[in-house]
Amino acid sequence: MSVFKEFVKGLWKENPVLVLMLGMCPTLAVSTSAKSALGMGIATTFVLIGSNAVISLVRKGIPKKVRIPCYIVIIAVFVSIVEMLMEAYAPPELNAALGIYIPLIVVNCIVLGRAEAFASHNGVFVSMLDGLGMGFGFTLALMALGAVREFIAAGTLFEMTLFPKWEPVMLMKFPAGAFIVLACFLGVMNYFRQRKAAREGTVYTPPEMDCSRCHLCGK
Amino acid sequence: MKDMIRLCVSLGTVCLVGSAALVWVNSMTSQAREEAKTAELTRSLQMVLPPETADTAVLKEKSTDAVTLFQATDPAGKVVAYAAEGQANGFGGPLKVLVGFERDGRIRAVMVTQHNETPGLGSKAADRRAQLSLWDFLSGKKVDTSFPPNPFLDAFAGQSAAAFCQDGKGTVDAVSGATISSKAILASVHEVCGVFQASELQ
Repeated sequence: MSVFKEFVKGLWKENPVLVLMLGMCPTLAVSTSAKSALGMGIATTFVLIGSNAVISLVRKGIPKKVRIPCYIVIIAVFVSIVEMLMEAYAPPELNAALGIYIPLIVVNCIVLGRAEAFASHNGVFVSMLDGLGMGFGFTLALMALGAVREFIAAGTLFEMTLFPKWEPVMLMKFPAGAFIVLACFLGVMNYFRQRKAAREGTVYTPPEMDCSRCHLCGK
Repeated sequence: MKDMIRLCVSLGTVCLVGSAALVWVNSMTSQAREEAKTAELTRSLQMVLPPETADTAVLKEKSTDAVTLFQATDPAGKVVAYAAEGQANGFGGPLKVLVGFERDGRIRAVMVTQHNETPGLGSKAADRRAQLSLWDFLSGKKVDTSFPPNPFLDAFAGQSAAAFCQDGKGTVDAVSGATISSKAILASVHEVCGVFQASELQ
């Protein structure tokens, strides 16, 4: 049960994009269409599972002082592998669309964040599940953003026309459109969370943003 | 001191193992990657060359640094057409233009094989993207997506390369909202036509 929880938490409760707000750069850049969002999500998921597994495996052998450089090297290796595999086997148009974003996975906060926050003190199997869940959550959030943006921008979904006479909204193809759609998503999600918390008689605070981590008001 | 050595050894080991893994994957995929690259060029060439083309070959000695010339032959080995790939600087960086020529020197087809123009503006001049309708897809209707039209790029077809490159006179109407992209593609076609003309193939 608890093993299953590690997988599910990435999908909704701790969704990397919509709750933890990690990896905004690829989110804004790649979510222009549902197809490239799917490709980027799968690539990141692969890197997450691989790096989480290896980091969890070697976590006891790596001294604390050099753990971050070691993590970066491991993540970079997996990203390079993904890049080569995609060049070799992915459809050419997907490769062209994602080409410049794949190397950016190295510095994607989600990957390093999970390595530091989870894989560095959990077992291999659970870490892989965490990577899978986080990767799926990232893919789902990216695809939802991508689908909405693609539809408003061009009236298409997965490059297939839904309405032939759609008036294109250019704004949605640019990062500004991503910010607007993302803000709407967050607004809706926070609304439901607050309503749920109010029904339970508590106040909703996003994870990592409660009083114990912030020292602004000195409480 | 002892601690320092430990740090160096562990980081060094991670790097070493990582490099070894990369070398292995690189050697495993290098052939497939090479094939994927050639397959893409072949697919683009098929689009601008006549259907009876069986084989294409690069004409190395006639190509220049910027423009690569190709020769297309039919199954019997007879030359049926030529093609040339040039490049130019568009709005969003370099773009590659592939031009197919008939044997008599007329432009057969133009397509942009690689570009980074603004989606929705510059891409209107550069893209030949097939738009499949979801309703067509669901009802199983077959739509021909082999060579989607683009009014700007199609305007080049049928023009004579000789007249087109002369003093840079040949022109086509630019796409509104994509002035720089249109100009870049036009300049590239001029250059390609010039090289094709100088090679005296036709």
